[in-house]
Formats: sequence, structure tokens, C-alpha cells
Amino acid sequence: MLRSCSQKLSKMIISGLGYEKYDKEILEYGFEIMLGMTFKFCSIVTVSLTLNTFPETMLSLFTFASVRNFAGGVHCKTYALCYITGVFMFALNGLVIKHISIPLNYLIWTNDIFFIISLFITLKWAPAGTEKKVVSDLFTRRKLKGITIIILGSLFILTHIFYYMGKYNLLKAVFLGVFEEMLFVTPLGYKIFRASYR
Amino acid sequence: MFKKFKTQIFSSLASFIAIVAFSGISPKSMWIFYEPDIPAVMKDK
Repeated sequence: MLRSCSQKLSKMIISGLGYEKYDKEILEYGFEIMLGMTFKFCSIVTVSLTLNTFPETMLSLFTFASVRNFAGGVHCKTYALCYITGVFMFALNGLVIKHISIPLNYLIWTNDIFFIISLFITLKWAPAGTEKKVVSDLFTRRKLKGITIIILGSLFILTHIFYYMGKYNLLKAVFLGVFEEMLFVTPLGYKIFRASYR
Repeated sequence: MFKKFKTQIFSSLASFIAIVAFSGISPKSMWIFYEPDIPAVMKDK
């Protein structure tokens, strides 16, 4: 459905312009990304507003996305699976953050230990590619690894700021976002989605 | 006049969508979004 919509829209642009400014395939690919992105993001926002977990869900989403942009990780094979997984995962994040309370000592210790583990995960596996996209250039790999470490360091500081401010839900949101992304970078994440690790 | 305006709108939209498409083939991952199959014309770019 996403593909047929993209094909129709790119045809519409080309016929509206009267010439092919860009290849039809390029426009179709761009529209597929754009439509998929808009639909999924709007669904996550709607679900989080319905569940009354908007700030928690959004923070966990942006944390997850900021690390994922550079660390990569497993992607679903189809749009339907990507959509269901994404919306379900972030809805669940919001609910867990809001309704499950963890003793403060455990929370901060778990957070700190996990950030140390995620540093090792990054050094060993990031940036993790997919069947469609593999980062093989050594310089690019090192650069993406370095940026991931800087982002993780900033998020670690942010969790401690939230801890001292008493904003424990926001701390949990950052933690969950990083936890899920790090899981998707490891071979275990690839195993869960039955994808081959690249 | 309207035809020129329409062409400009479609041209800008096409450029915007092309930017999105080219960002999709960069080494960076697509945040939380689905990565469609990269078309053959873009594989060697």
C-alpha cells in the first residue's frame, strides 16, 4: 500500500512538472520513506496521547532515535512489522515508565551499570548494518562509533541531571530508549527479528 | 502565471523528496523508521 501510494505520488509530480527532474525510482523511494515516517510518528503520538504518556514516550523515542541514527541496528523486513513493532514498543515504554516504580537505588545503579555495558556494546558492534545497508568503510565506522559514544556520554549526564532533579520518569525514559537501541545493535536483537547481522 | 506557480511547487516538492531519498542511502540509520529497498539507480551514487 505504501509502495503504491508512493508510485502514484511520484507519477503525479512528474506529470505535474512535465519532465523528469529526478528519476521516478528516486522519488518513489523518497515518498516511501516520507509517508512511512509520517504515518508511524503520528500513530506513536496519538497512542501516547491516548494513554496519557506523551512526555515519557516522546523522550524515550528521541533518545532511541538519537543513538540509532549513528549506532544503526536491526530493521524490520517489512513496513507492517516495523510499524507494529515501533508503535507497540513506544506505547509499552510509556506505560512501563509511568506505572512501574523501581526503588531509587536500584534505578540509578542499574542505569550506571547499563551505560558502561552500552559503551562496550558500541565498541564491539556499532555501527550495525542491515541487509539493505552495510557500513564497511573503516573511517566512517570509526566516526559513527565515536559519535555514538559522545551521545551515550551526554545521555548518561542527562540521566544524572534528571536523578538530582527528582524527575525519575524522565530518567527511566532515557534509560529505556538506550536499552532498546543497544539491544537492537547486538546480535541478540538480530536474532529476535530473524535478520542477519551485518 | 498559475502554470509557472504550479511548476515551482512541483519542482520544490520533487527536490525535497529527493533530499529525503538521498538521506536514506547515507551510512546513518533511519532513526526509528522503515528502510525500504534502495532502488538500483541509487545504489551506485
